[in-house]
Amino acid sequence: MKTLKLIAILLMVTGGIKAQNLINIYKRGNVKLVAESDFGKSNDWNSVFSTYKDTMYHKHVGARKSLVLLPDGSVIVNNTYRDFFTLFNPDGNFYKNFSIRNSSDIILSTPSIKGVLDNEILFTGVTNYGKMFCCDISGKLIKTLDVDYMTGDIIPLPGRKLAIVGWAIWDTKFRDFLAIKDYETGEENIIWSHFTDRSKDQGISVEVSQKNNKKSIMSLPSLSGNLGIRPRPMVRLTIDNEIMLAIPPTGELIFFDLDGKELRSTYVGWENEQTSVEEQQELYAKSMVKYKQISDNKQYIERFGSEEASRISQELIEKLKKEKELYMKPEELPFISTILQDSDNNLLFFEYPKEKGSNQFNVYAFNHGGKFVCKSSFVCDNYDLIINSERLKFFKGFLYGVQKLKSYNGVPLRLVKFQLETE
Amino acid sequence: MKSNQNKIDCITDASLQMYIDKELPVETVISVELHLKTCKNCRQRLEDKKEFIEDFKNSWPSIQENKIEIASFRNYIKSEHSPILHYLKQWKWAAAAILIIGLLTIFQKTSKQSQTETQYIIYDSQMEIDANKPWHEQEMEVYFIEEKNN
Repeated sequence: MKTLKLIAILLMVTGGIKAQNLINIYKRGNVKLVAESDFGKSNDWNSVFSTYKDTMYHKHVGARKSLVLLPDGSVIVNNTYRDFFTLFNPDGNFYKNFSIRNSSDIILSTPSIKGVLDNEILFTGVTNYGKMFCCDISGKLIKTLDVDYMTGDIIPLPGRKLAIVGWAIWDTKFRDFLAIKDYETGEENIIWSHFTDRSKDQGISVEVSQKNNKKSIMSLPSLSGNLGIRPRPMVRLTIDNEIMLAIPPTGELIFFDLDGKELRSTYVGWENEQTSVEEQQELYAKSMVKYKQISDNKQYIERFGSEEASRISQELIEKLKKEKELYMKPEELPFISTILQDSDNNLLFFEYPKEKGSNQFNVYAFNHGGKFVCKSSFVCDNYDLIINSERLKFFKGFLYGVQKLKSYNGVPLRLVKFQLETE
Repeated sequence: MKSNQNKIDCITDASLQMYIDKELPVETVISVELHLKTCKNCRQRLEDKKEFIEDFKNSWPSIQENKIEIASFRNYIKSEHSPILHYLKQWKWAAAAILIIGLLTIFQKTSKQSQTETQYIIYDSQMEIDANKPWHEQEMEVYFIEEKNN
């Protein structure tokens, strides 16, 4: 028993030191991300990330990658719009490409892998028809779960459950919600729900008539200052096994136990930023130019005919003019842009920075409730950082990412393992 | 969901879309293709669906200054539930039963109206938030919604 106690104490002490280390790095100011030079050094990146050159509808989409860390330190990189995934060894070297296959050995067209459930089951995002695929590490399909709504964050929970941020469009409103789904039974429990008026979030809509007389509604990004971004709730599991739901527009943090019972709610402890009036007016001017160009746009004319294209252009301009006063005042920004969870389970809440590259994050330690620790930001000499929870993941004190080199003639995309240092 | 099918054994809208998206299991693909060989109506529906998707995809690129990426179509069904019925679910059975008996006649019409299903075809671009960029430089999200009240 004494031995056991000693081991337990040692583990606690070790854990404490490790947690302190990361926090201490944040506390010292800017965090410098230094790529490990040996990581993935055998890779021919032009070949490994040949999908970097992918285009879709004349757009470059090959840089759109995300990653998932496996319990042994291996890394899966999702190749968006492709039906295969790239598996890297823990040393960062390419191991193989694989796909998810059903029992007939047919490759399934699946969304990105989102995470690992119970240390052994990979789960994907949700297909157009509400299917989430669960497979083993080799890609063999184990189970398909029904998820009949659109999803944001999906995270694994203890007890083979998933927390899913969902959203749906109702006739007059959007519904955002948080569901807990049981992997074994497929049963689902919606533990939080919130409605917003669709007319406010939908942006500018016009009814358009296509050449084949089909009518449809074209909804352009909201121009009332928010650029069409409708920040959705984010979900994380804290070190205390509490489910934390963060609401970016309000900064509210709501905590639930693993059964979905709401425990408490609080607000982030910082003020949100505002766009300036000048930025708003610049947006207005840009939108006006875009809408005027529609009447002369070849693709619009080809699809709708020149008369209809002119009408669409005119209607959009009129609707924009009606919203002009919204551009004469500052717009409040969401409190949170993304949340990274480090390997000590501290949560890094990122804001929207004022200047490009000046990312700012607020570090919260979540032992026995949330406690603000300090403010910091990442700097990196060699990579143009793209910061979000899909592209950057902590694992055992390191930060793994799929990031682009600042200057490189070939494919600049790299799977990279960063050490965190003080600047 | 009410589909556009005319015959009971025709392919559902969902299966047609999954066929296009290559999401059907192989055994279903075989039966779908067999059916398509013999059913003119379903062949036409398949072509219409493909045409709609292509038309739509082709209509977007120019206005978004190369920032928008095309993700997928989502063909999604949402029932608009009556708030009254929703609240009733929260009550204990006994109280709910009594109330239902008392109010069923009054609300029957309202409930039917409010539970109409609406089909939304959503063209939904994936966006990538970057916490290293200011708000006004973030990629925009565009979605296109077609509503069909059945």
